[in-house]
Amino acid sequence: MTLTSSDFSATSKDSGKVYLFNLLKENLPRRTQSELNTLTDSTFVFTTNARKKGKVVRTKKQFLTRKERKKLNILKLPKQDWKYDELCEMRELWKQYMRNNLNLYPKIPTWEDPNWTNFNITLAKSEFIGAELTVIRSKNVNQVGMRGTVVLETKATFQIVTPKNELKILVKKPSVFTFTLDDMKFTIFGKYAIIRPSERSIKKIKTLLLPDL
Amino acid sequence: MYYYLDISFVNQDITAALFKNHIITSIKHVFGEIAAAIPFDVVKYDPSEIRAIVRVTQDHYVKFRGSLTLAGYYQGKPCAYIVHKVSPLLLSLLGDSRTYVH
Amino acid sequence: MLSPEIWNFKAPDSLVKVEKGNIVNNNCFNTIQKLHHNHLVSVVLPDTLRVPQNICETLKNDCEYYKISNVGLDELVNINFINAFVRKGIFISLSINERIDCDDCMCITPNGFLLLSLTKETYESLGLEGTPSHYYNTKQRYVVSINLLSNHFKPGKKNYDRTKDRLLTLKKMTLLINWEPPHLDICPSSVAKYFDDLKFDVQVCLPDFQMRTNYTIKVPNFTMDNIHEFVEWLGMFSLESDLGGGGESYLSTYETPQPYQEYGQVKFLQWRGFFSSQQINKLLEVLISHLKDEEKPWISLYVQGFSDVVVGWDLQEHHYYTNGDNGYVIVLNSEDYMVYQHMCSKKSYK
Repeated sequence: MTLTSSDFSATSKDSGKVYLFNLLKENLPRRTQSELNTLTDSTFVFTTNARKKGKVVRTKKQFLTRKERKKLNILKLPKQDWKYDELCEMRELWKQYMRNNLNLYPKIPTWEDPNWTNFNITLAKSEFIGAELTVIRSKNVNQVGMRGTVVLETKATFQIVTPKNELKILVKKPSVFTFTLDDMKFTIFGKYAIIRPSERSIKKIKTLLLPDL
Repeated sequence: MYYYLDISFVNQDITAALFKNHIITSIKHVFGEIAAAIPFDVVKYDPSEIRAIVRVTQDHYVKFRGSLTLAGYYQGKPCAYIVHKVSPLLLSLLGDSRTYVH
Repeated sequence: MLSPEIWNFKAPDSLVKVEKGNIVNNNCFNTIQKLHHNHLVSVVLPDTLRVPQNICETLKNDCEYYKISNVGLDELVNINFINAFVRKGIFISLSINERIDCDDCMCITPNGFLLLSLTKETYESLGLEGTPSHYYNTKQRYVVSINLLSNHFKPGKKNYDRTKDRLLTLKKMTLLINWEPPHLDICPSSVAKYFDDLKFDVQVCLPDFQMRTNYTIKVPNFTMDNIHEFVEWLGMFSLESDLGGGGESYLSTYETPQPYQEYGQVKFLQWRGFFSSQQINKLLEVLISHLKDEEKPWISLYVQGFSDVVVGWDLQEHHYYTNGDNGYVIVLNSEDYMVYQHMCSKKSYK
């Protein structure tokens, strides 16, 4: 059987149905043909065309796109005019925040304690802006020994202000950082901290990692 | 060309001939009959420390040393060889700067 | 079954260089100048009844060296120290009880370089620029080199301050030091006084001297053709091993190389300690003059370096594979000399 062009001129839904019925009529054995009539009311999913996408009307956005932010130069921090002493307040705030964060644990666990992993996860999910970091080990040997307050954290870097009022960008991957809080000392392997800070709270953190560069 | 090994035996006091015999046995154990025919010389033997200087040709050095490592038993008792120093120059076995106490 | 892979294991290479020449040219002193940190010196004198005093004493008098325990390496880059000792005279130093294949080692060469051979972990936490070691393909070891005599290496300069600051974090080491003053009127012990004033534990070390006489010994004639056998014989004699009594022996098939001559007395002298190449030079001069005075078939001198020093021959990097030996044998007769130089292979194993 050949289809006439008029079959297609109907709405797309009907034409598909007609075509299908004709096809079934022709190919099915005669004794089952009577059952075809029971199908007339049903709809066939594949004969209906997918709904055409309407034009998306952009709502007025509430924020700047990355392109715009880059253009306005607010992605980068200024190089000059940092005052290490003025960041003192920020450091205190961060310490308070961290203490609150770790207060959930009655005592600092050792690796044998059952809540050791939980403790580490809490630690790994905390914010680092305001922390006083020191580089203790690095493949980039010139950075070893650098110390400063974190003012911005991106996926791959920590940007710190050193006591000499300079802004330094430290790449996380090749370095090991350390910070102290009261009488505790923490070591962070930068390699395992490469996450965008905003995504960190939902990211699953591995519990077994190799402590080497 | 030869390799020289300064080795000592940890088990019990044995004579130089038994010492050499045991090395041959352990070579045979690891590398078989043909390897057991490797010629080597016990150049110096100190029975008080059971320590010897052994000369072996360069071609057979790796097999020789391998058998020393894998030698496990002497007369049914566990034993071991300690290799103190190895050198292709015999004179350098005169002393080891690592163990010298200044 | 003979499996070729198992059967044909190659022994690690070692490099041997033989050099011969006329004694008048004094070329044999060049070899001595190339090895700076010497540990063991031995001399064989055939057909000698009495060893002249001056040979024994060349490496005994004024050959004291000092052992300083638990020194922070930042003391060695102190500008007062550099100006007083490293710049003047000849200063050499090296760390002991540290193994070059698994620990961190340090040495100071006569041309004023402080060299550190560090494991990957120490290197990364030290924070001084270095280069990966030639012998470790996986970058497991690094060599840091600091030029102490550079004009820019002084307080106030960024590089100096940082170097000093970072060396402070390195673990303390036990060092041997040997300083030869620029003038004879300066006492070599001033360097010990300097460290003593800084309240370090300084110990004077004297070279350990041994002398031995063997009677009726078959000594092979020294010719240029049988160098390897001759050097092997020197080893056999020095170690007092069986020189082959003749006849088949179960233990050893070694025989003294032909042709040989029998001498009544053969002397063996040995010093152990820490010697600079200048001190070895002096000994060789004494030996040459001794050879001129008395008719001797030959005299041999064997010098062995330290196993765990950062640099070997010619200030090239050194390592420890089956052994860490650098050494040379010099055999002299009244006209010719022969230098048998033995060094670690430069091959880097994966």
